[in-house]
Amino acid sequence: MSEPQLPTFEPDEATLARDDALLDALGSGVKLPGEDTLAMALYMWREDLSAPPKAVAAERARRKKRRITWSIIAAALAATLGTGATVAAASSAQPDSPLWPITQWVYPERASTTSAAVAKERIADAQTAVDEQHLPEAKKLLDEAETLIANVTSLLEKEALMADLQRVRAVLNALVTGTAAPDPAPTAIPTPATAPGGVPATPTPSPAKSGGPLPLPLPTISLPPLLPTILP
Amino acid sequence: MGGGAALTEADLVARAVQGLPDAVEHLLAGLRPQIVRYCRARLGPVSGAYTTADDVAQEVCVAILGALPRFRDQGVPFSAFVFGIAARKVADAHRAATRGFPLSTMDTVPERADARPGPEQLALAADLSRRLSYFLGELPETQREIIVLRVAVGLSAEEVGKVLGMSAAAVRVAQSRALHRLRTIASSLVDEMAS
Repeated sequence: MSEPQLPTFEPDEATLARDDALLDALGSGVKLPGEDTLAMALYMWREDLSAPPKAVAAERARRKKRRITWSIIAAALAATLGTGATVAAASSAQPDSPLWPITQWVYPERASTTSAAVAKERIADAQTAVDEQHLPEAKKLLDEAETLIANVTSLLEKEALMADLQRVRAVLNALVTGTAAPDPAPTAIPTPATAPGGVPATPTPSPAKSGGPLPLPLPTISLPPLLPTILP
Repeated sequence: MGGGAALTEADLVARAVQGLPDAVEHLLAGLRPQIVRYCRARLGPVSGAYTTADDVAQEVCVAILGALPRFRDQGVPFSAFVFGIAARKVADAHRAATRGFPLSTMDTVPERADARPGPEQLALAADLSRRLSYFLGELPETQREIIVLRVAVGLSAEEVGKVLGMSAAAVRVAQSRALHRLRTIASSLVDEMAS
């Protein structure tokens, strides 16, 4: 682009052979030992390209969390001890940010709140898409929302979001299959039973404590005091 | 051919060209993952997902299906036939995208290295891999196509030569140049993170 023209690189025989072997290995999906950053990056890239076509987003999030995130978390936390900037960035990261996995891991509550907010947006967008007959777009948005809802820790919030989502999905499905729209009442919410009145009937202790039923994986260290000062 | 032995690709292609449904299905099932990776590599993610690229991959499969009966007339190896079609469909998608909303590559550009992961190589490699679609765009077209076909699709240097109409030796020189360029970019990323 704007760079000066570099002299053409003339590879010698050894380089040609080494590069050819490297590309053969990468092309067959083999992970190479060694310290070559570019080889690692190409390997990760190919892995990413190989993710199953459907539900890609969910699958990627899960795989990334398992494989790569650990090293990123380690690196980021190490850097954090010096700067604190990563923590601030991670705590305010949105689901499409590279720091999002860290947010999910270190700040489950915040991840939950952000996920809920973004999921709500996606559902609203999906509703608009349905209204405008952009059905594939609507389906995509609903799938994204569903993935996000999985991060929501509050059962009540989760249930409300799922109900919204199911309502839009029912309309969408009706449009897709061409049948009349069924009763918009949410029929298949995969969350714990809700009594017909919409009140949680089972004596689960969860809603009473707004923090949700899951214990947080981390004793939130002593980082949070940092955040409000840095965050907008 | 013999009993339950696996068909060679040439046999499979020959049967598929004749229109034997099983052979067509088998052939496309085998090609599909390669085509998906090709389209994703060329088009990149949009908003973090490969939905657009996967749609294009689907179109490529349909186009191959339609062109299959005419494969023999073209006098090219099968991989050249397949990835010639794929390259045309991707080019169509790029053109459509420049008319409408921006597609792909730009998606990954603003994603700068956050904070300073220090010398952690994995973090650097992860960052590099996320931006690879963009960096590939900085390579000359032939080099970019070679890297995509070699790494994403998994073709050999000989096969890539047939797809692009060049000798395997020329492919090897070009791929080394491409890797050299990408390594330069990688090391400038290190500097960027360190500064």
